[in-house]
Amino acid sequence: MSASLLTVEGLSLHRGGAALVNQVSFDVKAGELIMLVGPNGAGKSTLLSMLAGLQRGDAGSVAVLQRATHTWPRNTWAEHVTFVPQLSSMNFPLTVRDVVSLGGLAHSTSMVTLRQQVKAALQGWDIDYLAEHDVRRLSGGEQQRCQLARSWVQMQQAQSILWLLDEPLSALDLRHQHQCLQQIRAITAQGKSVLMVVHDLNMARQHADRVLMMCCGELVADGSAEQVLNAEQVSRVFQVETYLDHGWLGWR
Amino acid sequence: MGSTTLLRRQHILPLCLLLPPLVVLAGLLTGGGEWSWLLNSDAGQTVLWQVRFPRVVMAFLIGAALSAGGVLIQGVVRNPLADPGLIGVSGGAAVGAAVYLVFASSLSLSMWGQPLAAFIGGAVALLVVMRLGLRGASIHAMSFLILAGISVNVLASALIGLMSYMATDSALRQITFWSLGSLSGANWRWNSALFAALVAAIIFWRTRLRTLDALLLGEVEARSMGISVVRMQWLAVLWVALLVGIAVCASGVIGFVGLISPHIARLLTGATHTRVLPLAIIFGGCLVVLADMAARTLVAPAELPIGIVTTLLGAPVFISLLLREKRRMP
Repeated sequence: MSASLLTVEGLSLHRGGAALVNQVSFDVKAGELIMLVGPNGAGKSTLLSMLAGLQRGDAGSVAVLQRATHTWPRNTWAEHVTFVPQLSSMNFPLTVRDVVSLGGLAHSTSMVTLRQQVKAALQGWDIDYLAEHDVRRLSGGEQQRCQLARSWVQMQQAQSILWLLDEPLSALDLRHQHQCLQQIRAITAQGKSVLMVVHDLNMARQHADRVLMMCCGELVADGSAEQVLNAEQVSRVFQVETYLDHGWLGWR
Repeated sequence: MGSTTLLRRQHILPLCLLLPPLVVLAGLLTGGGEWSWLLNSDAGQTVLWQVRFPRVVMAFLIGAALSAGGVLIQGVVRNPLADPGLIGVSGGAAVGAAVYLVFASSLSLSMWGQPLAAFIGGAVALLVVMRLGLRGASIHAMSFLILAGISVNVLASALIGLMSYMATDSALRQITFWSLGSLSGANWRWNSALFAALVAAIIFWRTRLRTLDALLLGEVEARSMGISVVRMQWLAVLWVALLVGIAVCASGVIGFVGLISPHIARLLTGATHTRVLPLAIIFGGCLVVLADMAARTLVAPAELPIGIVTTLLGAPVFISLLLREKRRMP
């Protein structure tokens, strides 16, 4: 069994009397691709931002490489954990290359290395032909690839161990979903781990090493895709009648 | 934007470095008096070097300082409409300076008492605006910041009105001068203070400009890239209040410069701060020198308040920016 990169114990966050995240515990092993599923409002995005150190829980702990993180400054977090939130709007004319280069902000690497990484990112995410375009004029999928490429550059630094992706595939077409998963697999092959929120349960069944399922702020299931995403459990959590057919989830 | 734009980008800054000497020369030679009189007679030489030269230099420095302040505050609040005048920083600084003039000038604290009061006034105004108006990056959030700025501006002009009731005659003249903006008080003391503040700001922010770029992507994005957003906001507040505070003490409220010049810079080179800041400083300086030329010559021998000229130029730019944001609205 490989060592834990991330250990979460009893993590909770309450706002206005309601528990957004309630007593969540799990750990992440090196090289795992974990997919986080659950209904809207289950607390998935909140959990992700807590794991990136952007929000402090009111109970529980997050340890990175067995080290306590509650005193970490922002740049230490950014060296270890790369977080990609859902797309937000922007008011300024940055080019795709400008944005992707910003992935090197947390780096201590040389300009030469960074330039190579930016070039590789632009090619790897199929946005090199857009490099000099204004980000605001791109389609949703292109913007998403641009943000992913930026975070990919941030993941290249030596200390990076965890890539947190909030619905990275939501705007991508099939080809670019495939490409995104290949990039993610290249990262897990280096012994780094990926935790991503997805809504396509069949995607999770096919590609995840492990699936976490959240509902109402609680972690209700944690295990292999087959264990977690069975018809009975999915029906209960998502309140839709589902069935399993040749390994595929369907619903009526 | 194609590869041609990229090629041109590298030439924009060197080309623009030619602008300030040309504009300053034009500023020196514009106004009353034949060139031969200016250049050859003793009186002409005095007008040229004792009166016009400090004024033209001050115009450039004021424009540069306001533009640098504009770039910093726009970056940190992620809002291209955030002009120091428009969002109440200049107003707050003017209140600070007026309060000092009415209540504390008899104490004669030192020559720095008034700029210090202006700095505090500007910083307080900016903190209030950011506290009230910072909400994400949507058009609604942007208008929220502007609304907060307007309310601070309204309060500032009311306070200045109050001060003018309490003021002595000479203080009253000074207060009126601040609210309209004028470069007639140009001298080398203010010029050196402005120059020092500007150079210090450039040196301080030079290594932090990429952090401002990251902030443009969004607050969560910036924090996930390792940036302490709150710290950046505090730093921006301090530097903007310093630059604008000194500019307001020297010349009063000159609006829209901090909006127009960063906007032109971004149109030419995109939003990357390492390119925007130097260009905005150059354009802002040139813009105020040109506006001052207009203020001195349009109704000669009388003189227009320069704030009126910059507002006449800036308001259309602001409106066009607003319309563009409106079109982006879903």
